[in-house]
Amino acid sequence: MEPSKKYNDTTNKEIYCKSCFEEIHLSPIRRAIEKNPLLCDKCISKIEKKLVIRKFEGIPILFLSNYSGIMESWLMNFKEYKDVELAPCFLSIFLPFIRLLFPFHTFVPLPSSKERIEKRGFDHLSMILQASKLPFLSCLEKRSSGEQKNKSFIERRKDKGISLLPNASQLQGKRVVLFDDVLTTGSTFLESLKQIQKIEVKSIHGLILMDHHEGQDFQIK
Amino acid sequence: MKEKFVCPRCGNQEERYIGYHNGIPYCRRCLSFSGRNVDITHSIQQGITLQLSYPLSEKQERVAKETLSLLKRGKNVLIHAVTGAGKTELVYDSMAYYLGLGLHVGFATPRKDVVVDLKPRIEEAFPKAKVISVFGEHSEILQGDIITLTTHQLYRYENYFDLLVLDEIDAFPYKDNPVLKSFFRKSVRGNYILLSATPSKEDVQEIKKDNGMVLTLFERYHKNPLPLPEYIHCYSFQYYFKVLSLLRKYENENKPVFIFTPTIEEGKKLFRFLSLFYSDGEFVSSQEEERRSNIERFKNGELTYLVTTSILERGVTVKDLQVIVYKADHILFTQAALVQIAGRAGRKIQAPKGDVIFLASERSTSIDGAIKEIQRYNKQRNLL
Repeated sequence: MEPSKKYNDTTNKEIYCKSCFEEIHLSPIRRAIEKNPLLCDKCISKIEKKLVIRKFEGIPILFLSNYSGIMESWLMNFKEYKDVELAPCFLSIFLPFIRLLFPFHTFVPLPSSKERIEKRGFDHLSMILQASKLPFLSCLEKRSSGEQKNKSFIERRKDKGISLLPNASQLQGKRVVLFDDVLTTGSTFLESLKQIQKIEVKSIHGLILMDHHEGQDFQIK
Repeated sequence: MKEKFVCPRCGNQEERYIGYHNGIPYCRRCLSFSGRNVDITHSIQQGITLQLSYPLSEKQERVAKETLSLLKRGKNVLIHAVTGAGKTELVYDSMAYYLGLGLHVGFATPRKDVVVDLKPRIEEAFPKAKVISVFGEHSEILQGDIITLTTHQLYRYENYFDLLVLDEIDAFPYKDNPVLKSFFRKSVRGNYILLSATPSKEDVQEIKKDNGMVLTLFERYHKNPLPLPEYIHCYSFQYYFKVLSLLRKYENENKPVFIFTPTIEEGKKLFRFLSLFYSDGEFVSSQEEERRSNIERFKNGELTYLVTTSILERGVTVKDLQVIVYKADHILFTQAALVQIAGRAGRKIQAPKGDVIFLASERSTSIDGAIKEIQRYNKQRNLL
């Protein structure tokens, strides 16, 4: 493609909000800062911003938002209806903060079961990280419920079937951030944490998009 | 040159709604409408007949006959009938005719609550038919003789209905929703009937273009005039006391009351105040989980007043109901909405009158328009 044509393409194109489909009218400040604006001011204001760091099993976790409102409906559209265009929206407004807080970290998305990924056609957490251009390594795997069937109920509750993939050795000596969309009971998070702790990593943090925790077995230390 | 992508489901071509997954385009506008589609396999039972336990009024009878004769000529119909005219009964004849021919008949409306209320009524009129209702959380059974459904579920029935009745065409969310409109068009194989008490000019023009006719019925089935709303001027500090004094009056007369509020917040505030004085009330809005049970309790007489948002503005019939509209000059109370709200009163033959009171600090154009519209209907009802 000719360079001039390409240039024309990007300037003349109207930009639409990924969430409400309305045209985005950028303020001069946003125009100067943002290369590819995704959301309009209205939708950004609808996101509940709740930046909290809490300790869970001694690991500091950064929560970005609550499990409600516009984020919840995005997640629904994204996961159930495969609206992949929403993938970069989730972290978009938090990105500068995340980059600042975790500058040389590798993000590890928590695993979904194989069936879910197959049914959906993509791993949604990896996709969010990829769309947000964060360095990530999916090195965990969750067995499908079919493989879990031949275990007893108690065993299954203890062991959610999360294991390390061979590429996990790349994490040695690195700073790791465990990433998940919603934290409800924290059992998947805990299980993944145990697995990651088997490797000699430099530090472990947590990053959760939405806090949906009911506050029973969660110990804030 | 890339070929332009057209959504096979909703016909969308606009760039802004098109997303790409691994380079393959998909439509984002109608994403939530992906589900089981229905094939035309169900054959209609024979011998379904209309069995109405009550007679129609002469004018109802006339409109019903005209509707059927227009349909037989292959035309579409818009029935413009005032609130409480008995719109649903008007289409029974046509439905019976189509069912007799073994054709597929559907009854769609934008509101879920209306679908829930509608099913038993249709079952009563067509006792032999298998009537099903399809809406959001209730979509396991999709095949039946008569299908009552929300407009959101129409996407499942592509090219299915030989006769589709669409009630309350000017109600949210169907109004001004291109996705739902295209689903409606796609689901109709034969002809359709639109029903409304407050059709817009665009609706009328649209159906005239689309091989259709408009029929009108400006008289209620019990032949009494529509209750005329009364405008009461109120300064902003007077509202609560005005509502309270009206409520006290109706409580003494032992009459049930609806108090319509423009927004959920306003409604909550007002209800909090009123509940200090009268405990036998409830607040209903689209966000309240228990709204159905509260409405049922109200209908059974356990509650005497309901503070509500516009969700109860249509499709509700309560005997001897009185209506108060709180802040009627609010921008959300359009002329059509006010006419609908005023139409809640005096719907039963045992109590054909009722008060409708617009409380407002200013006589807005919608209040004026609504009152004039109702006056016009009342004048015209004897002429037709």
